[in-house]
Amino acid sequence: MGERINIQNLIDLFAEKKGLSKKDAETFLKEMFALIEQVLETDKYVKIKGFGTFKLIDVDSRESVNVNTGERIEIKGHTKISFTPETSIRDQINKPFSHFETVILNEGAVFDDMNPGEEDDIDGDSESEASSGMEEALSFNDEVTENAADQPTTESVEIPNENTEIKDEEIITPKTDEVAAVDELQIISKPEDVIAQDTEVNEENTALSKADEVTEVDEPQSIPESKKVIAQDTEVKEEVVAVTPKAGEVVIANKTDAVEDVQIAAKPIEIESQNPEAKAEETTPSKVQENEAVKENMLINSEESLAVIPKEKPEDEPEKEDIIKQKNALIEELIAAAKAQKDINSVSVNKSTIYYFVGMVTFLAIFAIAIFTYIYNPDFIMNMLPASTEVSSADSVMVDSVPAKMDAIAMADTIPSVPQQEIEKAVTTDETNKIKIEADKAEKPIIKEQTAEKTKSDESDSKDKKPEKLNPNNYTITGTKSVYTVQKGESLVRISQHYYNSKDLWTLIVKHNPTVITNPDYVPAGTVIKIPNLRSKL
Amino acid sequence: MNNKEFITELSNRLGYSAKETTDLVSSAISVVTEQLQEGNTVVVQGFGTFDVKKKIERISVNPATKQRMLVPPKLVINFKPSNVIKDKFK
Repeated sequence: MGERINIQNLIDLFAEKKGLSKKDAETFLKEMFALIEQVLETDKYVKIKGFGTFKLIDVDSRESVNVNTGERIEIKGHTKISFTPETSIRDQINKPFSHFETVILNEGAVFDDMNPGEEDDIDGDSESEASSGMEEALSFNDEVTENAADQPTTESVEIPNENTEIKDEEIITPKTDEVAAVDELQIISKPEDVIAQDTEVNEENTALSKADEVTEVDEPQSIPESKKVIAQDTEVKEEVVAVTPKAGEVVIANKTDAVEDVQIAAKPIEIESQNPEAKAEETTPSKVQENEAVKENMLINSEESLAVIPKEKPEDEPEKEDIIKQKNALIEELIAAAKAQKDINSVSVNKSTIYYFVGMVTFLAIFAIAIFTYIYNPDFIMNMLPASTEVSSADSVMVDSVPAKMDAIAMADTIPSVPQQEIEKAVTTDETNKIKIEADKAEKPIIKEQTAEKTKSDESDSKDKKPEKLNPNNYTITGTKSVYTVQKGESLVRISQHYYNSKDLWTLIVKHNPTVITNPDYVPAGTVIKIPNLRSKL
Repeated sequence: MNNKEFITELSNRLGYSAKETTDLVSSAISVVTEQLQEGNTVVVQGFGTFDVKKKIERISVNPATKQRMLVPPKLVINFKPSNVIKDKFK
């Protein structure tokens, strides 16, 4: 391999092969090549069977540039010798690679081996991330939360939405008796998806485990606190305290809760870097080791999150205002902490995440104001309600549904409508789902409190003209009260509301006008109907 | 000049018969080819150098059909004329 065979070696080999004397072999070979040269000179073309073709090719003169000096130089026209081997010899030479065949490429074929740069880049990124993760994991907590958050998200991302719904209902139902304080806290905390749900869970914990945990909890609090001293800055420490519950709760709460919380915690990071990291976790062994470390740290964090609970506990006792204010402050703290965490973890903060936070904060503020108004000035909202009922009743023929519920739905719709627009800019479909959930949540307490309100204020708020719920079967038609021409945009429900102060009696109008109203769902403007005079059977 | 003419010319010069010459030429070529196959470079003084080069795989596009093809790597004989002969034909 790679040896240089000169004419002498060639003569030796040739002589050996043909049994010629070296002298004969030498003369023959030399004569052969000399003849090729001579013939080329005369004919410019020699074809030797079993070897190939030698040819003289004329090259035209051309201009070129001297690479060193930049001068223009002319390369004069000359002839060059070309050798084209015959197919037989070509195949013989190419024998080692003869099994390769030309492949027709399909469209969209990816050449991993052709441009390995990309893959290297990805690997490099994830590795550097992993290494940085390792470094920070030495002083744990911070990076750990991120990783802990990411790890479960790769396993199950889809499930949480349903779980949140179910869980929220669970949270609301046991507290129906207490209505005022705790429920409101939850309502306030709900819009703040990223962090508020965490606090919600904390609230749940506090509500369930009241005082007994205080003593138990104090001890673990001191332990992680001392551990955290290892972490360098005091600021960083505070952030870590605020942030760790996210990952910590994962361990305390049961699986569904864990997934939910984790998803929320992962959200800001997930958006920009979930995929590569997830890959990296699966592939790179260093990450796997890290994950083990993460699990250990999660146990530690669980203790820390227990430590967080008593901090929130006393907040349940004071007055509503204080609770709400503290709640807001806490949520803002958490937002700041989360933001700070984000800054540390990912240098390039995605714009969408900023929008997300801004949207959430505004949503929270609006929601809080709405709740405030509702608590301290319920008349104001009650005044607003009939307007919304009219709107909803005007275009919909949902007569059978309870009026109160319709009001609630209308109200729930009006409240989130403003922040929804803001959020939609920045947030993916997950968030819209959450908004829906929030709407549902918002609906429930309102219904609850409204029914309570109704019993109280039915008589007193007669000026509000609260629509009565009446059963048409309890009434008989006793002649025509008046004749009415249907106006544009009016429905039978509205007419019923106008004459009987109840939407439910429109069926009696239909009954009384069998000739005029053929299709109760379509009563054109200008139709003259008879309004029946009703008498109660009761 | 084709192969037949070449053989006759060579046989005239060396005094071999045409048949013998054909045999000798083909065996000379086979010796060279064998050496090339082993990856050696054959240098003929005053004439040129034969060696084997590896061409790496590439993607070629059929300009008519726009079809892309992956051309596999291959080994080819490369002849580089010596400076003497180059100058002679210049």
